[in-house]
Amino acid sequence: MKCANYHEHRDKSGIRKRLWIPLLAVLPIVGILLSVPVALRFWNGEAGLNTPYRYRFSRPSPGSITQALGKEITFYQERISRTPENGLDRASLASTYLKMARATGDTSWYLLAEQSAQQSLVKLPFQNDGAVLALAQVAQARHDFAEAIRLAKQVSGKDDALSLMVTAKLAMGKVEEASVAADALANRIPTLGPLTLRALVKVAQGKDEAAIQNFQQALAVEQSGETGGSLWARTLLGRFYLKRGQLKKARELYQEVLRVLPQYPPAILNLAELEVRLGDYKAAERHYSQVFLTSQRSPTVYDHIVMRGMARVKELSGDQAGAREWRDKAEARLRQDLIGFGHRRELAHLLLERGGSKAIAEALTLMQAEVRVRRDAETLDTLADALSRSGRWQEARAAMQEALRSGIRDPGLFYRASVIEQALGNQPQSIAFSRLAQETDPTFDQHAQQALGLGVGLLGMN
Amino acid sequence: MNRKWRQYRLVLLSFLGSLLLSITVATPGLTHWADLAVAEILVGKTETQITLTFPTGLVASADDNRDGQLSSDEVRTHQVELQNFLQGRIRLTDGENHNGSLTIKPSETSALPANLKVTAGTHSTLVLVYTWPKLVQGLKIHYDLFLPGVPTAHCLATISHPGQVQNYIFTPENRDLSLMPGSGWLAAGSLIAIAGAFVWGGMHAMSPGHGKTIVGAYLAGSRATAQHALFLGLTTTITHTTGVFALGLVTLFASQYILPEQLYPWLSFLSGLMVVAIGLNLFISRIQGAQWLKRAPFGHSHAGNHSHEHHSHDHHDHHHHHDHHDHNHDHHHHHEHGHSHADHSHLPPGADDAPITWRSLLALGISGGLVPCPSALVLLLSTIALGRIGFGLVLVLVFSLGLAGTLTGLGLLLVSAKRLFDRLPKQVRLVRMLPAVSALFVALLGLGITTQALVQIGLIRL
Repeated sequence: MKCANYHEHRDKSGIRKRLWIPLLAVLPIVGILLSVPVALRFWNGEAGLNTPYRYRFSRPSPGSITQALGKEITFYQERISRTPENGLDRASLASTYLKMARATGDTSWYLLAEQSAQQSLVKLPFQNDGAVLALAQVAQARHDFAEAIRLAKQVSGKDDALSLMVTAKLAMGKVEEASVAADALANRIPTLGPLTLRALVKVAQGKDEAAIQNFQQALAVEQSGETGGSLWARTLLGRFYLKRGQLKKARELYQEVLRVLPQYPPAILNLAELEVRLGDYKAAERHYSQVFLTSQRSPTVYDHIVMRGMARVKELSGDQAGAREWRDKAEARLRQDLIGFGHRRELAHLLLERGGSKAIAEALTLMQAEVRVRRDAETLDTLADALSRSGRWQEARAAMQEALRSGIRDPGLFYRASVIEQALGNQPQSIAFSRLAQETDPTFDQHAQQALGLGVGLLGMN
Repeated sequence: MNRKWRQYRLVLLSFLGSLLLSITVATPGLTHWADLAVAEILVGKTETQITLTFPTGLVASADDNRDGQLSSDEVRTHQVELQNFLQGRIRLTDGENHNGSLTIKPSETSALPANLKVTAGTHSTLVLVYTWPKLVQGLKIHYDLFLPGVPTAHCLATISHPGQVQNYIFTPENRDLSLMPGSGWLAAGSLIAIAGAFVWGGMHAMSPGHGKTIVGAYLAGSRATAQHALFLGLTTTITHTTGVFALGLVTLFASQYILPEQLYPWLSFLSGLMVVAIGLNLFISRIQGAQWLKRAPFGHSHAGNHSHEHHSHDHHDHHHHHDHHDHNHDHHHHHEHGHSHADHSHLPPGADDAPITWRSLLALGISGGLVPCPSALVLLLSTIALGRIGFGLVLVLVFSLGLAGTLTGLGLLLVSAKRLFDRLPKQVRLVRMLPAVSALFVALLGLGITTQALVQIGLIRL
């Protein structure tokens, strides 16, 4: 009997095992067969494979851009070691250092670029446009726009010089001059970069349809070797849509950028801005943390935006202590950067968010200094904010009028203009600005106001 | 949380991977203009030349006219003073530990007109020439020229030496760099990278995931031997390595259609299902085994009597035993438990409460290695980007060996601990229940993994 029981048990056990084992073998195969198509569909849905903004070329593998630039640097340095008196190679090396600065966000490369460009000019003092242009780009990186324009004029006629003119003129609030330069450039070489620049000018002029058209043309003619430009154009277009309340399109564009380059800081920061706007502070914090962790070992020019964003998110989540801590970090970083990269506007932003008479007074001083070199809409808006917080409403109104003079359409700017007019007792004008804000972005609400000042790109539109 | 952690880990390990794989890869630096220094180092046979651009404030006493920049005249006037200052802070020694003799001279760029110096007022450039009386074999650079009290101060150096160019960042925590001559340097770098990959893999196995807990729970509740632990480690290594290679291929050739990051949750899901299946299988068999043991009068007698020496039956023994078991219940009893594995388990008699089978071990090993670490993938892709595919494959294999080494070590530890545990009286209820409890734990862990994967995929919201 015992034996029979035992055999019965053993048979059952054997059958069960015979069933389980093939199942274990089949499960992974079936799983892979099922999960890959499902994953593909999932991925397609999420990233919008079929959108017109799809990047059609192969994505760069991790680190491949800086690797390629490293090889370029090696190439020029070897040439220089063979022919030390050749000024042109040094100018090319300076240009590669600039590319490295843009690719890594590390500003040391600007200093190397300047050193190399100057050495190039020593070897070849005349007809050395490449070296002069490199110096102009270093000046622009340091927000010395007047110097950048002065140097760029020395090499007038060059496409790169025209590009630099467009951005520098935009930063200085000379939108019409920027438009002339952008048209000249885009007509001469209708490629990704020039068309994106012209789109930026159209945005500054409030010509929405023309802006979208230029962005789309830019993306239509993009080439495989200009990934940086492709990502930048999509990020800008995403931000443009965000400013028009088309949040889904904005998200799709940012996600497409991150599909191509998952660690692209401008897209991550703008996605964080979008989450703040939607009131998903946890998601925003996650995005900020992502950029912040990337830059733990190698801080970049985006750090202060991350820290300010973190402070905003903490505050909105009710964590006042955390907000204070992040603001302190951002302030320390911005004060260090003031000397080299003129982050006066960003520091003023932060001080205004902190509040208090002392901070507001310092913010106003900073902005009064800043507008001497930079007069784009965002800078003037920050000045107007500092003035209105100081109770100088008339001056604030003048600053806002100048900010809006180019025709720019930005709900944030309209909103501030409305507040200023209301403070000055001009109710009809206040309502008109408020209506303009709603027309520009029908979804402009309290969350949208809370997200103002975060995000990257579009120069005058923040 | 896990997804966030994976993203962070990918970022962090991407950096570490690059560092391990190639010292020739640039590590990005810090950002504050006023703290920045850059150096172009040209290594020759008997002399090394450094073109150094650094904050003038470091040698403020030599800046007679206080214009923030050292002129040629100022350099000549303070030649000895500057030489002594820099000799102590930037030290170059050859392979035999002989210091190079330093001579400094003003940079040619100091003769450039001020309108071509963007950094005028903050930085100066000097040329430092180190010479040795004989041919230099190997070079050590000690750099200690930092603004005091500025933790972000650093110097980005591009170093050209025969055969290659590399970038390096000197920081207050990272002041020394050794350049070994020729292939020796490369070989040393490769060995360091291989050793690093092994250690990294081992340490990585200690991070969350990788089935440590599952392996632990499985082995703790069964009559596992050292061979089982080794087999488990081997399976994990092979699966993990294969998985990384496969995913690497997907990344390289199908990057247009699939994002590897998007596949991770699906692989986790699959892995989780397998673990649930294994856990349930174990649990059911252990529970049934326990019930049957209770019913059988001889049920508990075998547990203490059968030592592992009895376990070395081969298949001949097995057949022989079946021939006899009807005739002698005692004999039958003695052997039956050892051979009740129709699935070719080579387990000892008395293992009926812990049906370890090679197949279930194989399944467990596959589930442990099925989800390849993003870090290992980064290793592979980085080497591919460097054009060293073979080296990448070796590194991934070594990484997987390190990972499996830790898992196997843990398994062996548990197997040893289990033997100690076996000495406890079997009547203790807890001890009798342990196999079933641990099996249930395995199943629950699998369920956790599956749920977490579904949350990551977005099919479940918690």
